[in-house]
Amino acid sequence: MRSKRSKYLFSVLLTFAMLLAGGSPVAAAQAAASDLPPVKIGALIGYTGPDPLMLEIEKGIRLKLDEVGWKVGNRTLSLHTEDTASKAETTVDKARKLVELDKVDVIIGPVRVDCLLAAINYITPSKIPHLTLATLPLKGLQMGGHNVFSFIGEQRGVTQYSGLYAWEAGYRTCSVIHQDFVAGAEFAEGFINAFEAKGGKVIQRQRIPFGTMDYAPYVTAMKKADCVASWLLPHETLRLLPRFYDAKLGMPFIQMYASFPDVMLNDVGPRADGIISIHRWCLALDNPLNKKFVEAFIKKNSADPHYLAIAAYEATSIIIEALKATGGKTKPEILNDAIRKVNIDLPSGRTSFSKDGVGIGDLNILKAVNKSGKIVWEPIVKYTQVTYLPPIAK
Amino acid sequence: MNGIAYGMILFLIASGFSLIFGVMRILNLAHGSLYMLGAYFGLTIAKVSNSFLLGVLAAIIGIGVVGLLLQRAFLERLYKQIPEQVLLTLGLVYIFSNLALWIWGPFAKVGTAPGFTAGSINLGGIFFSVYRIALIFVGLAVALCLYLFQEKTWYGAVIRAGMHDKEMIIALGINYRLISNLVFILGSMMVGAAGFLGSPILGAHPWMSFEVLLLALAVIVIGGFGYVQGALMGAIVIGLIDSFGKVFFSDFALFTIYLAMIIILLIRPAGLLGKTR
Repeated sequence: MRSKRSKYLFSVLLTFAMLLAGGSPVAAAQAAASDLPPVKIGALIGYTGPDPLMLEIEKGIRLKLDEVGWKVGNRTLSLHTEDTASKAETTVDKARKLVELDKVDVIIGPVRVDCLLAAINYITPSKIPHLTLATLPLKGLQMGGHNVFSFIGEQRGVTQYSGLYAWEAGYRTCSVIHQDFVAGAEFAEGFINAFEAKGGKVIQRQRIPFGTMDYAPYVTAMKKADCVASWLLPHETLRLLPRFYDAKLGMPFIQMYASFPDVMLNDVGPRADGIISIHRWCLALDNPLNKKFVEAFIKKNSADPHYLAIAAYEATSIIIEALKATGGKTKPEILNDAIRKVNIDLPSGRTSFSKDGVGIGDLNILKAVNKSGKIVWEPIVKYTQVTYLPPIAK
Repeated sequence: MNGIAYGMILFLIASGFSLIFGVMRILNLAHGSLYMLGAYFGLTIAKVSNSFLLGVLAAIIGIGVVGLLLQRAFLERLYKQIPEQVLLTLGLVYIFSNLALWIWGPFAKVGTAPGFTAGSINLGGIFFSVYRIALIFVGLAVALCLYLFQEKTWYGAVIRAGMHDKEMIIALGINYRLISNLVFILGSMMVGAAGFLGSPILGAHPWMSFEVLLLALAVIVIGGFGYVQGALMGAIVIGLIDSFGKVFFSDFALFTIYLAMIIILLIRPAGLLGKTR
């Protein structure tokens, strides 16, 4: 009896010791996998500074990473975020930290044009894949190398479709108003070039400085045209829209590129009813992936997603898809090629890249409609699988 | 009309700043933050209660309390220490902006004009917002009340006297500390009200403090500080310059205000209605 018990105890202890020493096949496999460092995703986000909407970016990234369990194949994923303070010089410092100290494998962001150009300037020579979250200015496209990807497109490349829509909607003259900086000017240029290429005429162009508080004089100065086309920063659009509504100019209002999401639309209320915008995505897009994304985002964050959140989610999705294609390999040349070959269904629709690293996807003309007392963006026209590069790619 | 209406909002913002700096010699760079917080307080209460009036009251009382706490906890310890006041209040701007971001989120908000002021009226072929016309009358009413308070009441006389010789006022046995606190609260309440009343036109977002502060400074530089008349004159001048500038020199619209400031500083540094010491 005693010897049987002793033998039993001995065999249990021996098995335990073997397991501890990693003698089991499972332990061996796990040990091999854990030897691989995690795939490091860097994100340049303006947590501090005058663009509080940047906080939405991390929410989008984390949602996707949570969805895949922070793993791709046998590689774990880690997220390294840095605050750019919405300043170009800080962006370069933080990009340098991500690349040289943290040794990230891919970088997402930033959004502000000045920060983005500074980041592209630094990151391009490193060859690390760099996915932007906002439309790229022309200079960014020119500066960027084989490792810069803008799945949201080039600024003029997107707004040319709102110019095209304005023509197709029957408008022949237009009064343009836009923020007076690179993004505003390029958004306007895309719209104007496409509209005029079709035969339309832009009869006025008002350039609005940052920090304009009262938009009433600009509205009063608007010349009578078939439509008004606008691009301003979100909080400045909120100042323009009520003035435009009060003035009863009777001109359709087209946002050359989406400035604000549904939540801000509802602050303007019925005054926003009927305005037109353009974007890859809106809350109401009717496809299973979008419904799943919106539901998951609201469940996690108790709020509707913003454009930056969906952009970050989709950028992360693209990275994960590329990593699946490379089998977890992260060498820059391999990962860059894999990203360029990505052809994936996202909440915004099917997305791929041109040889320049600019997105190919759908663009939706959106209309603000009143649905049971709530103003929402509804897609009314879709430009399917277009390249977000000017001039209008066939 | 646009210029005058805009000027009235600027008057409401700047009159408090003018009083506080003129009477107490406190350079409160967080004044723009008080405007922002007034907008947020008012918008929150107005949304919950569905009452514009309650929103105004919430903004007035809320920012009055914030102003009092600011004055008692920090600013009264820094009397005549302008660099320290600048540093402290600048830091408070960032604190308040991030607090607003944390509490109300990153999305800008815009107020809705109440009831009968929500529409537009046709004035000579141009539709003009009824709310902006109402703001003109509100601004004028507030200016009149402040003027009467300043010129016809004992408190007003003490405040005016204190601007010239604080020590004499104290020597007469008047509790100048109490008067100063009341002035700070009054100034804060006014800017809080301005925040909510201005929200249908200027909106509210966490980083608007500096935009508002610059305008307030421009108004008191042009009008002169310490007196209601100066703030009103400065506000109307800025409002008109801004409106005409946007129409006729739209590319340089923002510069026109600062050009006016430069000219006034060169010709009459105390402001149009300010008194030279």
